[in-house]
Amino acid sequence: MNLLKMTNIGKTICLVVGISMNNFIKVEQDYALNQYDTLSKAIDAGKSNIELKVKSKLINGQVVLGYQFNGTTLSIGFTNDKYLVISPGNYCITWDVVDKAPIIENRPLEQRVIFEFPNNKRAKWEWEEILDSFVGKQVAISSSDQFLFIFSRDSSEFMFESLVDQDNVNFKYLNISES
Amino acid sequence: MQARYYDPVIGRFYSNDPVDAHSVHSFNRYAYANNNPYAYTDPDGKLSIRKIKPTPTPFPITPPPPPNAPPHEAPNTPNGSPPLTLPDLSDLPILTTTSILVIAVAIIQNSENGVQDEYEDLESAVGSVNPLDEVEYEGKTKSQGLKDQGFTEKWSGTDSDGVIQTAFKNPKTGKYTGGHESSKNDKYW
Repeated sequence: MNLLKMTNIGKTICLVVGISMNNFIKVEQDYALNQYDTLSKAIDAGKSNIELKVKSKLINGQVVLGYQFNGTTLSIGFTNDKYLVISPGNYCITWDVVDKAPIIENRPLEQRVIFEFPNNKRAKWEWEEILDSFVGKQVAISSSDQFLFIFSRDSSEFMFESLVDQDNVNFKYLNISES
Repeated sequence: MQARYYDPVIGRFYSNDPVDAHSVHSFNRYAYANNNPYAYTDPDGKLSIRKIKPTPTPFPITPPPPPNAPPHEAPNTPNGSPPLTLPDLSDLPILTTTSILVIAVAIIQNSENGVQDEYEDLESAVGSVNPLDEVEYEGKTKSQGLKDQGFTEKWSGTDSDGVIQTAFKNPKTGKYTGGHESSKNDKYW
């Protein structure tokens, strides 16, 4: 009886601690964004990689089966047996569409991460809510010269961006947020 | 006006535009000439079309010969047929999609002499067209990362292929970043 009580107390304490603990991480965009004089030039820059444009058509309109994410690399599986793999790259988001499920290093993810940006604004790292919302739905991607955008039918548009941890510049977070 | 009545005092039509909205300006279907009669005209009340300044025509138009001049020798064509006669574009103040279609029809009508391969595509025929000159403000950027670098506004426009394109603007510098095809396009589904 005492043991059971202690266990319950222990669970209660864990629950309270879990809810109240937010992990604030100071981050900034991993790279300076390319800047163009006109919207047309910004669009042209995004059109430059023809190979990736062709690859995007392999998954656009397909239904998401599931995903695997370790904070840095994301793999999204589709019903046509294609996989979209996304990770931070050099001055851009790197992504590819492949035929085999990639092997992603397992890494425990903290559930309540709040990013703090240099402009003192905060944003919750909502990867789970957003990615869960795509499962079972048709999605499409669109890329710029540095970002990747993803959306489902009639949903908001989300973008992947690379955020670097200011206390550990060797660690980059793959963030997904509404654009 | 033929399709609806226009009140010159208020600068508005009395009724809405019978043509569906097709551009960023057309959602106000009571407006005349996209609220910009200097740059647009709307001869029949159905469609605002853009006026352009006279520019060097993309066609090599040969001026008409003087009245008593000898017949002009036709240039060589692949099958020896008469040369393509092109519409006189000097008075055509339009370079919108609609006008391009009009020109294309004219070209097709003039191409019955077997020279329809003269131009490989519309852009070759009419020159470069850049409708992205007209862009629409979509709203505030939501990504903190973008906002952190000053790109706080989202803008979009339709390109010459009819695809809606979006980018983010830094209102302080006037620069754009992140140009990509918008999620508003239906082609994905």
